[in-house]
Amino acid sequence: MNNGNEQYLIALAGNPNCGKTTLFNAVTGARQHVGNYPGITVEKKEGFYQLNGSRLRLVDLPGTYSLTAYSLEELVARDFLVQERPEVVLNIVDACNLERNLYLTVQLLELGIPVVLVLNMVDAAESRGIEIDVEELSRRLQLPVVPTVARTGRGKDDLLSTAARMASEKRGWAPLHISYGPDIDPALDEMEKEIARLSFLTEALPSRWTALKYLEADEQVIAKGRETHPELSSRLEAIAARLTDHLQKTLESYPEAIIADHRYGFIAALLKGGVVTEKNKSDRLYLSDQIDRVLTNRLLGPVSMMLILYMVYQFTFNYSALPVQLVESAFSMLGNRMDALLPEGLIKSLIVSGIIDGVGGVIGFVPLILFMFFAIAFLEDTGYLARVAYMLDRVFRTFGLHGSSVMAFIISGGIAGGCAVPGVMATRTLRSSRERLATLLTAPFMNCGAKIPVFAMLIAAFFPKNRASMMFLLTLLSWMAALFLAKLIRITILKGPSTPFLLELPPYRLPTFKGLLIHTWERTWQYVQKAGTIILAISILFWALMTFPGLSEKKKVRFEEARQEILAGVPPELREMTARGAPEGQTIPAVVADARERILALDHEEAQTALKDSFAGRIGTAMESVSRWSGFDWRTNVALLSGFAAKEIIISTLGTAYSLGKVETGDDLSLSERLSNDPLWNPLKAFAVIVFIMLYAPCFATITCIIKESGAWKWGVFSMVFNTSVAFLIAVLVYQGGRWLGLGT
Amino acid sequence: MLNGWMRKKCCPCAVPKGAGQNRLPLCEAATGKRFKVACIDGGRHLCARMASLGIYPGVEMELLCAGCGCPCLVRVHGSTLSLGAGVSDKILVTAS
Ligand SMILES: Nc1nc2c(ncn2[C@@H]2O[C@H](COP(=O)(O)OP(=O)(O)O)[C@@H](O)[C@H]2O)c(=O)[nH]1
Repeated sequence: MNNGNEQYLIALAGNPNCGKTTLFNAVTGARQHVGNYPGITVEKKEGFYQLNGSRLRLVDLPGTYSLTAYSLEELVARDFLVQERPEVVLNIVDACNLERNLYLTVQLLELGIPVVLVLNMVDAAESRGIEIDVEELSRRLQLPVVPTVARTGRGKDDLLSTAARMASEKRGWAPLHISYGPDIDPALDEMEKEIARLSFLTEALPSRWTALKYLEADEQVIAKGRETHPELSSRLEAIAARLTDHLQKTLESYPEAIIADHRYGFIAALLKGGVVTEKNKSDRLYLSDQIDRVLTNRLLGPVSMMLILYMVYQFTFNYSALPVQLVESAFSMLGNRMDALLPEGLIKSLIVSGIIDGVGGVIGFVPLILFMFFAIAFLEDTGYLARVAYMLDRVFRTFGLHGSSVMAFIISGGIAGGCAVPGVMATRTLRSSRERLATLLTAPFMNCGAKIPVFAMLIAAFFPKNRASMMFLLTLLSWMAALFLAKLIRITILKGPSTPFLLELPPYRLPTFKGLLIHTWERTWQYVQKAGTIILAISILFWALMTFPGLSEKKKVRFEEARQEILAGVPPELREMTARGAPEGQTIPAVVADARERILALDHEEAQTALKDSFAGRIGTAMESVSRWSGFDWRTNVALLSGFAAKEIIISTLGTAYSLGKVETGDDLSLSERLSNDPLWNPLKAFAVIVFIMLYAPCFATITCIIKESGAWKWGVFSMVFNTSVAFLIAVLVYQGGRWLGLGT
Repeated sequence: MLNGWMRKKCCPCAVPKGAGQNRLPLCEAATGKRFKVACIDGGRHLCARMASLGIYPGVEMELLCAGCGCPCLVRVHGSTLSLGAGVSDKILVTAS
């Protein structure tokens, strides 16, 4: 065989849903690396396997139906095969549906690359009464065929040793020749000769294959031809154009159709004569079809969809509540320890308020994200997500989105209380880039779990009688805003036709727990990595903005004097107790209690003054000239500014700005009361603030995700500027409109 | 940058003169029946994508659910495809 110490490159190719990922996981286990192909969001997975001293490097290609450049996935898969030239391709096919799956196989064979055919899901095929003569199939195709069950790992070892043996043989590429009938074959022959004569791409590709791509109007190959051999390219194009014209006139057809027809014909001939026998080949409905009768039914479909989505939502938020709390209390414990350990001063403030609070706020979401991704992975792997997209496509299409957008919206808080970070990440299931961008730009308008406490506080203060209906109204408002703004984006900056909805619905399958866990873990880990870098930097930045330049010496002295004055009013023997607090269990004299309260009030006032004097406070004050249009004063401005870091911080900043000291989320009643008694606040202003918070710039964690997912800084900046402008505009409309109607006094 | 021949519609889809050639868009066809694709009234790119999924003139398929209107499910080459409104109304079929 081989003398060891060799490394072989082995690619996994197959249609979507053939079990490719499951097989890849079964082989590589945890030893895999997930990254992106350079510049795009198509995931690239790599793993290693050691076999008899040789090292197999396995690369999981994106799932595709063809090798023509119709989509990003197909382009990526093809480029990898042509440029990296793996020693062997493991072509995974679903044994229950050989006819369709072999379509890709035929194309791989036409390319000539060495292929091992992996007959996956033979367990499912057996239970459906499908019998496959593996040896005969192997003989007819002249390739090794290995039956497997990726779910259980059956056939895995056989597969790997077959692959390693084939790799070590170092076969050359031997393209398969298929006849495409009397119309196309002559054209192909003519083109082939021209290509071979000028050796166009022939060092890497069979000339017949290049000719086929010209007939299929493959943009990438044609662009290449025009660049390197313009004359040859125009001759080839002329032949292709002539043939296309001819086919249209005589057959009402086009080259791709004839080519596809002949490939399917080739496959049908291949499977005839006992290679595949179906025992109960009636029009029997399989279980999957029966389930679909209910789940995609015109009436029952939407109802069950609502129920299932609601269950996902309940699952995610109920089961993650406890771990989220645990993580939060772990961080607050850490904060308190640090608070006690470190000496008073800037360093302590930086570590406690800047780093621990900032990163804690982000890591606190991890359990939530974990559960969310688990639920999505489940819907995805069972095949239900494709049905949801199918059913909702009509509604979403009206707004320039795609059926698959719904998941992102719901996760972001479509039923109130999600999180835009996993929401934005969930847009990965969307294929087309315009709809995907529009979705990830509008998903943050949903009412995420961090906005809810802020709304709750304001509603408690100003609309105490209509809490539930206000919350419902806000949910409706956010959906309307998201959908209409999506439409706006799609008819302006992301103008363009919607991608036609054309999707294979995989049969329902039970996912493996391991597969779900791996899926979930990959996505969550990416989020955690982000928290460690950019988000840390941002939270330090915000801490600095709200801390520096601090109070001037003069003001500090004044506060200190005022404190000493209060202390001076207390009898000397009680001063120690007033300054330090009473020892446990000792009753506090009224005079001490009173003095302590006044000192605390003074501390809060000092904090408020410091905030007003900080950079953030100055920005907030400077913004008053604009923000008065929507009724916001500097305190509101600072709070909203801090909301850029994370929405839940708005409450604590408002607390500081209203000299209430540190207000924790949850015990915000005092703030509610304080605001409802403030003459500057009224229900109208509160509503304007709520609308603004609902719509304005996403928090930094979300913006980071938007940048990462869209692959461009400009979309992060766009979402900040666009959302804030829209939010301000609508807040002004609400505020000024309300005043005009005589409200808000 | 692409030339005309790559942009054009893939089939002319002219209304056939002969009688008995009842072509109708897939979304108006009856559920549960088998149909033969007569032509596809779409751009080259859409036609090509459809062909790679197995929908092209001459192929036979079964309509699984039409009551749902224009978005519909078809069974073709052994698997179920879901077609959005913008796709199914471009596929003209005849009974087979
Ligand atoms: N019965 C059966 N199910 C499988 C097998 N391999 C994968 N599956 C299931 O098929 C579904 C799709 O698999 P996945 O690996 O995600 O497909 P991919 O899209 O090709 O990566 C999952 O629910 C798997 O659990 C198999 O050999 N037998």
